[in-house]
Amino acid sequence: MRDRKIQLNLNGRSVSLVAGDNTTLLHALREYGLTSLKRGCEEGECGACTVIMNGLPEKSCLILVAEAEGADILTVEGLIKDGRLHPIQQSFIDEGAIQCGYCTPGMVMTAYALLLKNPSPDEEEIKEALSGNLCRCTGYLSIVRAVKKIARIVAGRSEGSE
Amino acid sequence: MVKGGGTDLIVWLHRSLINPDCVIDLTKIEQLKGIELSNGRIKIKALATLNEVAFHPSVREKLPALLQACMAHSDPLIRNRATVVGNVCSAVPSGDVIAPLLCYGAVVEIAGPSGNRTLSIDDFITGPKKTALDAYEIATAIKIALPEGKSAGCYLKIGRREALDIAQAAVCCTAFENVTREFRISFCAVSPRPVRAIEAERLLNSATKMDNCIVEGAAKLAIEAIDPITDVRASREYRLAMVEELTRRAIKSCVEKLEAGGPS
Repeated sequence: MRDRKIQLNLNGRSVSLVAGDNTTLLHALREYGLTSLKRGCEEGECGACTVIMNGLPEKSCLILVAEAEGADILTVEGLIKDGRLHPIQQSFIDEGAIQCGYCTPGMVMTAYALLLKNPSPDEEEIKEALSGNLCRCTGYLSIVRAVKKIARIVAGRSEGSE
Repeated sequence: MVKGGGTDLIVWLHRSLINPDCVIDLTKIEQLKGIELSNGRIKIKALATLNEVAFHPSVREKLPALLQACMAHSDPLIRNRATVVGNVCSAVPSGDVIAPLLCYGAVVEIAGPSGNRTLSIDDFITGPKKTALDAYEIATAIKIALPEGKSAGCYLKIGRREALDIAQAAVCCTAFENVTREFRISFCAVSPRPVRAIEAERLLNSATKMDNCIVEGAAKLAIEAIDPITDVRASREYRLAMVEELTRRAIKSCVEKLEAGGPS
């Protein structure tokens, strides 16, 4: 397997990665230092490695890095601005939507992608959107609550109407 | 090996189930992307993802069973990458989209060194994980004639959970109404290759009045068409029982939708 140089737009910056042809995007990004992406099942089951690629949430363990040539990739690291957490991250903290934390980056990115597409999802839409992200601690109720809360804020609705 | 979405292939590589000398990735070929409509036909090209197909207005309007099968597949993230054509090429008996494609009479467009050809889904899939593709051929698209007039369709799947699960059994039913009413029934995960319940369809198509007796008869005939195995997901007996019940429900759903004025 030979190495190749891959150019991509990572969290708003143009970067080059050097990786083998059979390397997944997950491995290449972790080697680059983006350890928010978690290596869970590596078979597309768990969603711990979710990134947003060209505006769509995808599982980076199912993508060869060469496919990401020229792509826009967003990870949790890219959500943080000026050292401040993104409101979705803050909402996960506020709602206690974290136990071991392993699924959290993937959950946050999938929630981010959902809100890009649908700023005011209802509970069913949130559950459907998150159905490809597994939480082994089974903290789903608080995760759904965190996404509902941020959706309410995004939609400019008042809180406490649950 | 040729790679489309890669959601099977990369998993097989990871598990060392395959060890190809090289992988040819099609995902940068613009001509293989997208969905086209012309002359009442929809052309789902090789790289069109399950989500692209499921959210296409013509699929939503005219091919509800295909829509439901796409949405029953894996999860919303994988559906952003997995392709309909790739699922047909994988040719696994539990491939969700295969049953509706069979009911809708889809054909596979194939390109290779000796030219282009087309095959029906029935002829394309020759066995579990086996297709009629020659060594240097690729499937470039799937074409479906959009139903004219009233039509209805549904895809009912049983799995242990809704997302991220392979079917234990599934039934697809479509009904088209022009001068006559034509039902088609096919299955998922209960036969080694795609199969239609021809005898059950015949009974439904010959019925002058659709009553419970006809539906029951068709559900019984449907299980004559399949030959499920016992595996880790379900037993043969469970699959037979579920197919009978799902067939009953699928037929009733189509009849209700037709009478409410399809397509839906």
